[in-house]
Amino acid sequence: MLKVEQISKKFTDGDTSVQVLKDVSLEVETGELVAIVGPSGSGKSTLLSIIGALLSPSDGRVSINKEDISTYSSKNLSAVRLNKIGFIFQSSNLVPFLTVENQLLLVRDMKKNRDRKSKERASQLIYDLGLSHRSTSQINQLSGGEKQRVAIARAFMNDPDLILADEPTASLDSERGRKVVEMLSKEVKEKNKAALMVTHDERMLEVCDRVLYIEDGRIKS
Amino acid sequence: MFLAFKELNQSKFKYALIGIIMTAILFLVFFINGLASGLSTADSSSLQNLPADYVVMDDDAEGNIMKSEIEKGEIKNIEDEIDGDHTSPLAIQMSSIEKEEEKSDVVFFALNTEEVSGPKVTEGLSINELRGNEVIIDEGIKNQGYRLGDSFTDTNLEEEFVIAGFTEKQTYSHLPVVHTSYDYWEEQEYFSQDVMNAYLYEGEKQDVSGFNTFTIDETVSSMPGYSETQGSLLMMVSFLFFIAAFVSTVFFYVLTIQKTHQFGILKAIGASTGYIAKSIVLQVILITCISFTFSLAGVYFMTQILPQDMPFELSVEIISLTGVIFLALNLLGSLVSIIKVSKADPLEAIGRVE
Repeated sequence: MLKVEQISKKFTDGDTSVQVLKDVSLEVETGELVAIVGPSGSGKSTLLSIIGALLSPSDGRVSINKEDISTYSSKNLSAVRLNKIGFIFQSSNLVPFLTVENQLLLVRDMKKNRDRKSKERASQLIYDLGLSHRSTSQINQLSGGEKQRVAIARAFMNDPDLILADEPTASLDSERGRKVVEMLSKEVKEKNKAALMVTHDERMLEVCDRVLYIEDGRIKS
Repeated sequence: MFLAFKELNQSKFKYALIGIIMTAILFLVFFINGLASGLSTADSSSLQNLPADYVVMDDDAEGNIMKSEIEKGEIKNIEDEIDGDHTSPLAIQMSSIEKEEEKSDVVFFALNTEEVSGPKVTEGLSINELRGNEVIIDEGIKNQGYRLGDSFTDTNLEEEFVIAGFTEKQTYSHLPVVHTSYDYWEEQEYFSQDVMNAYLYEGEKQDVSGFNTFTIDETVSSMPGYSETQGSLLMMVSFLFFIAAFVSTVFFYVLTIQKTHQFGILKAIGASTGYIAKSIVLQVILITCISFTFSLAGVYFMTQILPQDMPFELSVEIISLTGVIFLALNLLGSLVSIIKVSKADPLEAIGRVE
């Protein structure tokens, strides 16, 4: 499903250049939740940003469902983000002025296919994540765990092939964090998606199907 | 659409404040504009609306119609030399009129009432139908209790005149102008001297030796003090306009640039710049249009409670031009910030820059 082939990423800062990623290759199949762990500065978030079409690699190929996105323009990349990828960020990054339900409808609106069905889909997702009683709440009334669950629901809203999560549990205590990851795992299995999660929380790993270790920009097996 | 309305709805108070500020700015622009052109009208409308294309005055007058003197004997020469329509001598006389012990200052314009093509009356007889001591007068005099058919006494001549009609926008130096028959004044020997101020005609510009021919615009701007007053007023109005336009443009720029973080989130989850821009443009148009409507309503309300003798005039051209310019500038302000936002990195907004 997701295929990363030999990508490298170099950042240049003045006249020094830093090689953040070196020849990274990995694959994620549908129905799989894969974790990437590594010390900070190891390049795991850069890797996720490249897979998530937020950054372009200096070298190598990223393909989602056999579609090579590594050479896309920024306009095409935003379409890829909208249609193929569901993002869950470290801090939930919800839109501040929308209710829980509207957070989900917004994603459909951006895709220009908001209709009656989207409302049904939104309430189903909200129900699946145990947020039905919150569906008309404002974001600032939610707890951290609830916000992350909304973020998960939003990520699934456009029925993407790939879910990317960037330390989704960082702002939560371990009990809530584990619950969020369990929900993520359950959704991935039920809806048959491929998911990749960056984390440095070792306790979450047992929920994942596979763990990749990254250090100094390289995958260690 | 979805995003724009949800945001307006959620931040009602914030957008209401913005709307109120925009309304206040536009109200100020319209109100000052209206007062300034009201002043200009009250000062000179009788000359602006003279029933003529050209005004012949003596050489020394330099366009100042009050200073111009044409002797009765010379009128014949001018008449012979000029080939125009609706020709008429014009004698101007400052005076006071009296009705039931109440005095009012007026300006008499004595014309050949049978020839001239104006002024237009709003009520009563047209100028061509005037007989004898009948006059038509600017409707501003109604504030002093004068009605159609009333008679009044001129305090200089101690003669009686009858109001046969009313005109609008016929004031000179804020005084109502009384249009009366030149021939009748001559017949009754009301003129103290055998001079008149000018000769009016419609047609092509023609030169008469010993005299000068002026357009209406030249005549108006040669009024004593007119250009100076109008210069100051124009300065006030244009500075107000520029500052207001600048404030409102910057306002929308800042308002939009504040949302950079929010746009970053939207871009990260896949919104195109076009989607964001559409939502902003919609908000700006909505806020500007609503404020525009409210400011006009405010101006209308003000004109209702302004004292009758405070001149106020606001043309549709000024209103629509102002509306279009402000809308364009507000859109410009927010579009400039959208361009900045479009260059912003979604990574930066989600706080994961490495």
